[in-house]
Amino acid sequence: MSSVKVTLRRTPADYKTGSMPDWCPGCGDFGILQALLNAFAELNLDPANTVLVSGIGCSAKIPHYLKIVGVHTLHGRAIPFAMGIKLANPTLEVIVDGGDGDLLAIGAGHFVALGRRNLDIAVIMHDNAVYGLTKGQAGPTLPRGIKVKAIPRPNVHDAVNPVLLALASGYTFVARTYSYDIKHQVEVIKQAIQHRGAALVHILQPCPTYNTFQTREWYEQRIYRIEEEDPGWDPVVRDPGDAWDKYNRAVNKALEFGDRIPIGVFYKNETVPTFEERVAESIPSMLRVPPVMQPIATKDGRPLITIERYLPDRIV
Amino acid sequence: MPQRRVDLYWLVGGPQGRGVETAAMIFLRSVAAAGYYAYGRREYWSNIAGRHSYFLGRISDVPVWSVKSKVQILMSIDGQTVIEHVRDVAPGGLVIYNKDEENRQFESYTMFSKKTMARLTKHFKEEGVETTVKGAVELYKRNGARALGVSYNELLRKVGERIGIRDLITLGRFVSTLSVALGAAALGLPKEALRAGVEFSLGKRPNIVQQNMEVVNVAYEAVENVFNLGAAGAERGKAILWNGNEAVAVGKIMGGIRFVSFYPITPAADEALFIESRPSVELDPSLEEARLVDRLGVITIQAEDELAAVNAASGAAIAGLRASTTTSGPGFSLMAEGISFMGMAEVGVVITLWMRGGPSTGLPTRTSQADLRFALHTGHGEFPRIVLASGDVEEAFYDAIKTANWAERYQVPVIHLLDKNLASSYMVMPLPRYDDIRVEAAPAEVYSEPLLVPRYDYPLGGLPRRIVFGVSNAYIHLAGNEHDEYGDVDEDAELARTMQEKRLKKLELIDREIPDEEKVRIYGNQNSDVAIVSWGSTKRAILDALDELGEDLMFVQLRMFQPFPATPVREALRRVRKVIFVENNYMAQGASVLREKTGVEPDTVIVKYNGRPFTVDELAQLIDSALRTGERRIVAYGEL
Repeated sequence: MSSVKVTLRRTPADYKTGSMPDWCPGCGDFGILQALLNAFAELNLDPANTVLVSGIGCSAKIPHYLKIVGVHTLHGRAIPFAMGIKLANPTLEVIVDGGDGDLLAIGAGHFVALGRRNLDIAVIMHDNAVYGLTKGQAGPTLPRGIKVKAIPRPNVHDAVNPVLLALASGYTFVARTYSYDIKHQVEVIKQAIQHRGAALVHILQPCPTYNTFQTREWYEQRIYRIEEEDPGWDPVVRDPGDAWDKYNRAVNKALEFGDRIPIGVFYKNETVPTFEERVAESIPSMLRVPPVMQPIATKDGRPLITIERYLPDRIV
Repeated sequence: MPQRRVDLYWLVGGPQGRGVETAAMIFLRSVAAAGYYAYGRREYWSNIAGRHSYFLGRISDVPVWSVKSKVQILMSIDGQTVIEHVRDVAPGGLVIYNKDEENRQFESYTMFSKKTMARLTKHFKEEGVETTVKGAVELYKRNGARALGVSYNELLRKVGERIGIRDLITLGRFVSTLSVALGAAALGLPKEALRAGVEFSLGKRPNIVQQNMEVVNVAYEAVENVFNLGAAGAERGKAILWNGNEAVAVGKIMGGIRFVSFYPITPAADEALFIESRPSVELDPSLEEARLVDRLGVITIQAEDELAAVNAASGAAIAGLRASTTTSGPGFSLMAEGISFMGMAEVGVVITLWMRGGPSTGLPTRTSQADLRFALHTGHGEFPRIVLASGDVEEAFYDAIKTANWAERYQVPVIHLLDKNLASSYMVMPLPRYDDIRVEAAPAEVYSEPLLVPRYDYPLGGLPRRIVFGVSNAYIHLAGNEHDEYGDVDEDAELARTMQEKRLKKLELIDREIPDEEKVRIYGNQNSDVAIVSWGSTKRAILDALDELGEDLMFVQLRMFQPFPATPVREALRRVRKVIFVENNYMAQGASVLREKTGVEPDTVIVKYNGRPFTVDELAQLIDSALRTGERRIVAYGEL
């Protein structure tokens, strides 16, 4: 909502800061960073009105490499920070980047709550099934019985299915993609950003240093594009009456995770009111004039209301 | 001390969820309508229905803020109230009770605390009276109080005849109105004043008002005017009826807070719910600001936990909106990491901490001042913060505005320390003075070209740039990691040192800019060689206790604990021979901070940690004892 409207088309390079990523060679994060740069450029996002909020971990370093508003927060808490930012100014494009541990272990409650709210933000989940930055512990998406490089014993926890959890929580855009497939990621990320409501982009991402099980080869033997297998696949709910059927199909598709792993858009439903719209039912002005732009006092520093005006029934 | 024509203490009690709060609100509003000031502190269990709950209060023709442990009038909804408060009525006072419950045994009240019942059983046996309501009535009489028994069923049937309801169970819903109407009749309040009370608590539907006014009529016919209060003579002027939760809520809104997050917790949630119940209010159309938006809106979010509450408030503040979160001890514990983040990333949020009894779940509905040390040290690492403790509901209102100003200006977490004693104490108090209120909005930087802005590029002793997302036309980075001027992660040794110095240097700026009278307030005789020192909600009981004692002593109220006003406090206590520290905790935490910051060692600490605030008479007696005996540590036992 800046007064200066920039009309020129931006290129991916326009969104790059000078900082060089300090990820390991071959890290899937490079692919995700490139996909974000491309998606931002293709959408021509205004850097001053685009906010990327991250948690903690390798994935969370991403805002420092992007010339947009970047907020690098706490482990698991990117979603609550993003909620505060989005409600303070609903005209901002707000994106959350986090790892599987960040969003589905320490931050799982917030991940579920975001779906229940259907706040209009996009969550980009870097899923490599390990905690890279603390040197390779098992993440919440690592299957049970698997021993990856740095864990002393095979994993004793079952894996959570992020796509299924997102569907169960109420996300209205749910998609999966793969970090070495830039083109597919860009398409999916663009759709997630443009979606009106809570969006999850689940990105399968090898960790060449610590995930010795789910390697590039492992993924590439299993991954397939949903619409290539099923040319009639249409995940978009256009009428609330279609929602039940499309949701069921999405859930069934989400259950498929093993020898074959579908990627693509599972579900998209814009007929559900967003959280901003729900909140604005009691505060109608917030969608017309973003709260950060509303005055909080008169010019000479007086409150905008008196107690008599706010609480007439309590004056005795 | 103002001359009081009327100064009367009251109590109304009954089973939680059976109309105690309704009864108390009818009573308070009626007293206000009769032209008096009033106060009523709510005591209740962590329970939905059945446990013994009561309001302890005071009425006067001048503002009142404290209570004593003996009342002149006890109004009861049930017999358990009569039993539980057997020692709480002053000689010459009046107990109004339900004769229908006279023969009920202690055990018949199934939600009686086992421990309270055992202690009362012992007391009743020692006194040689039966363990029934009748036994209690006998003890009231022995102590010089009057007991007035009336059959509530009989009175309700009489009401029923007049309003056409025969079923006694249905009529039972009028018992809360009846209990206080009987009291109002005995006090001699104008009957019409009760109409305001009924309309305030039960709504203005004509049918409801008429039915309840019939209850009032029956009560006034049944009970004589004993106290002859009448209407207050002098013109009181406009006043407000609210409690501490509500005063802070209104202060936040007037102070420009537009985002409040919370997770349900006693005794903080009522503050947020009060704001949520009035999400949007029409502005005075003559205001210039009303042209942009005609209604003022406050976003209230019930978060999924306190981790989300604190960090969502942080997010809103990062974007440039004045934001706050409200909680109590257990929730505040979960907020620790988020507060540390605010320190590092330089984010200003008001965290309102309503202390209750701890540790752990502790005494969820009872008061305490045991989180002072925690508020001072919450969060890992070293970072600047402001910790401010309000002394009463009036201060809490103004402080809610000031803390909102400070959070935005200094971009630090501001912890506003309050307690359950303030949260759920209602009062009729004079309207605040608007001339004293300033909302100091810190201007945002705005750039003509979109720019990567080094938000943290400020000199030692300065403040970070204020960027508003979507307004400043800037892209900035923030991080909880140590960072450079641009907010980008860097672990360079020299950078780490200088950034840490810049952040912590803000404390000195805060200390310099905020005037001493905000940090410490001194009452009474400044040349006295004895000083009472305290903080928080003990203030009014202390002031009234000193009046009661008739001793012209100095009272030093510590308000700000970070930054701590060491110089003015040390100066105030320089010539003092004896320091008596009063607080609602076991460890004398405030006294330990005083020692740490000023080197002043309190001679006596008076502490209370049973979940109940100090009463005036209790405190007067203990201060007197401290003056006479010089004991190092005095523990208060008062149960009310």
